[in-house]
Amino acid sequence: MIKNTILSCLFSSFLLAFHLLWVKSVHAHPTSFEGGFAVMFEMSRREQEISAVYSPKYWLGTGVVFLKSPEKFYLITSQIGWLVKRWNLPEAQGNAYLLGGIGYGILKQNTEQEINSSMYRLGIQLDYETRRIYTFTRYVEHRFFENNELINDQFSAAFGFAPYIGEFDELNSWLIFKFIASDRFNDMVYILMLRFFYKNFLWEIGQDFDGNPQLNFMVRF
Amino acid sequence: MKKIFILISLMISFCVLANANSKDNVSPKSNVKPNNKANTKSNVKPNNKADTKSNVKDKNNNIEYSKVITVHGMVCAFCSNSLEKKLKKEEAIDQVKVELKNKKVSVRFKKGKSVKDKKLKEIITSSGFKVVKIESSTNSG
Repeated sequence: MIKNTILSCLFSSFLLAFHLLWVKSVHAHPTSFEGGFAVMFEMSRREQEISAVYSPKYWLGTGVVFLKSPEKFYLITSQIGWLVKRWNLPEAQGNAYLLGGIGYGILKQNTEQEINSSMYRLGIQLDYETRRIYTFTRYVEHRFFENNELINDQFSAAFGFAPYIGEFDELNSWLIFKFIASDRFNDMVYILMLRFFYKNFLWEIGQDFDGNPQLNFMVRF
Repeated sequence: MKKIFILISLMISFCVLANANSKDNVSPKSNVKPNNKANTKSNVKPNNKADTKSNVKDKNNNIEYSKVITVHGMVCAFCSNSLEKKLKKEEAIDQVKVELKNKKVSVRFKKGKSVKDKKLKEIITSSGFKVVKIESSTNSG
């Protein structure tokens, strides 16, 4: 079991390195700072996601997302992230985002049949964090333009807690509980992760409740 | 079970955001005191914290000029990193120090140089944060 986990982590790291070299830059937060560029890689049992986002303004993120769930779907889509509202408070920050984009998707209906067509994505994201707690919720769905058929939907929520409050130039650590649900695939995953960030690097390492590894990585330029 | 979990998560998120919004509205706008005339000596407001923590004297004991900016929304080191990066791009800025605990960003200028408050505010705002106050100080060796 432990051996498998270690091997999975090593394999994930290899995939991560490969993807980073291949894409040069990827992202997941809908927006960055003005002129900022962010790259993100996310791997879980359900799916793998690579995204790259450039923010011409801090409230706008434009980029590309590649999302795949083996034996279910493959998507490549543009992403527009719009920061609708930000609450900058003395001890906290809250954000509300709208997500959109168009692209191309492949939905595997069974081992022999699949649908290939243009698609769109829509979503909403809310988050709120202090230096001690972190909350996050997001709903995103992908549909074919034709027939409006649902390719994938995903609801995710997370709650995080910082065991110590790190300063700006220190390694910051968080304990994150996350759950991901999909009505389309009647699936639900619970994940426990450790989040670390230092300077412009953020990485998360964890496991879902079935023992599958979860690995996320993000870098901002 | 799944729907209940989803509903609870949504409710928590909206509650905290609503709470955040109400707090934001309560904050008096008068707290925002950009000091556009900070370059003149009469408007220099020495900041004790800045004097002790941020205004590191240079090796030649020359006069230093720095500003301490109070920023709201700066809760995450990863996100605040952008702030440091953008400020450091300014040619006149020699050193940037971000203090999340005190919600302060201290900037030290190169000898004989400065950046106007308006420009500093613009840089910080474009990074997605809220400038509450800008204070100036000088140190002479």
